[in-house]
Amino acid sequence: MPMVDLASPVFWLITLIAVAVMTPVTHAELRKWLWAGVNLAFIATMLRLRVLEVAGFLLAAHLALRVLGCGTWRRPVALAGLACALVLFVINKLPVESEAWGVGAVNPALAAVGFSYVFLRLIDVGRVVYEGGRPPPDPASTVNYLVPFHMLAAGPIQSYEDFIDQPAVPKPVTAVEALEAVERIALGLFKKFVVAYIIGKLFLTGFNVSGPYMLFEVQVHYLWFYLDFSGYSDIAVGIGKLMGVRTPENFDKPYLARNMIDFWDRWHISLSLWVRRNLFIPMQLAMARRTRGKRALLIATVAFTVSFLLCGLWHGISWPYFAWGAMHALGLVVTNTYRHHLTKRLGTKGVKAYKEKLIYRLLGQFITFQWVAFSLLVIAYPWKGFEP
Amino acid sequence: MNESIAEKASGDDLSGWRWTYRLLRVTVMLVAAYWLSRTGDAFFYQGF
Repeated sequence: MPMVDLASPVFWLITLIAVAVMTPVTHAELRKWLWAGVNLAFIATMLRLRVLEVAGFLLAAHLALRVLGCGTWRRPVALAGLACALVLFVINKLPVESEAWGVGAVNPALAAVGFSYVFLRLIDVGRVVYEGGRPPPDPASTVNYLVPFHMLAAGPIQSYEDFIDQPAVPKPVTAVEALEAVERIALGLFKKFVVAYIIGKLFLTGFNVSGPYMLFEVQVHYLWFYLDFSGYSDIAVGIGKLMGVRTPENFDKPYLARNMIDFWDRWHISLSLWVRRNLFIPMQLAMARRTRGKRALLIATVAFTVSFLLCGLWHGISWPYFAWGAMHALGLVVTNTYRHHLTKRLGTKGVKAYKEKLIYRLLGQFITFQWVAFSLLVIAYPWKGFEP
Repeated sequence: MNESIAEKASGDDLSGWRWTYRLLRVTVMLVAAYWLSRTGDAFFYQGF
């Protein structure tokens, strides 16, 4: 089954057609349907999926969201929808097991559309509509929110609020903005296909080494991973700018992060915000209500731990990914606890002075970099008996 | 005043060498990415 391939001329042909078709259209409804047509055409041509089957899934999602937004049957539909999405997610994440369970036939299609990301968008729109934050999407918006072709490969994960609040007809793109968008796409392609590729070819062995080179490879692997992943995001953001479709930023120099909380403000930002909206804050609020606002530090510790263990399992249902999530949870808990005690001891002004000291900043950056690099080693290391 | 600065900045961006330099940079990045995405594995020494 074909996947989203950025090196394929088909991908860029569809991008060009999307820009050419959508740019002159100023009628909001027509623009929305054209965008949905482009997304479905992408699924049919690039991914070679049967559009009717995909449209059937999207229609089911659309109808479920309508019911979620109208009051009656909200709760059972929310639970049934969540269960269906979870089943599809597990099938997608466990291809070998899903074959044995006799449901492997749907897996290639789930893999082709990058269902991990569709799953997160489904949860986000479901929660917002269930809570009454925004109206449910119309059919075209369901397609455009759940399967935007330029965000299928590796995100970003746009929030439903951000999607629905964007102007129906964007301001015309100026020549300078168009150049900036093309520069962003070129930078992403250069990062992925040139810099990351060369680094990978020259320095990475898949951790089939030991000794000092292994330590070196851990550092280079983080850099390679960042360039490859942020390259994807640059391309998506650039295409979004050209088409006038809001596409969130995903990276902000994560290698400069001075602690793990700072790191998640800079790395895969759209996932970090998703975790906050859909896991961390709901859990924190539920626990705060039960304890009447007491034990804030303990509540944050539990919320960080559960959120990031689940975040690890979202990346992959296996022990290495669980361990990756545990490492990030531990890093966040330690940072939060340290920050709490530091504020207690030094006061707000003291903490500000502490933060301004160069030595602490450099030390924090070094420790954070190493912690993240070693967490990536856990998922990339060729463990015997595991397929991470 | 801010508007005139913005107009001036965008005007500068679109004029002369700066514009040419940016287009050239984009072209180099795109050509390199295209070339390596097509011939990368042949280009690199496989025995490393």
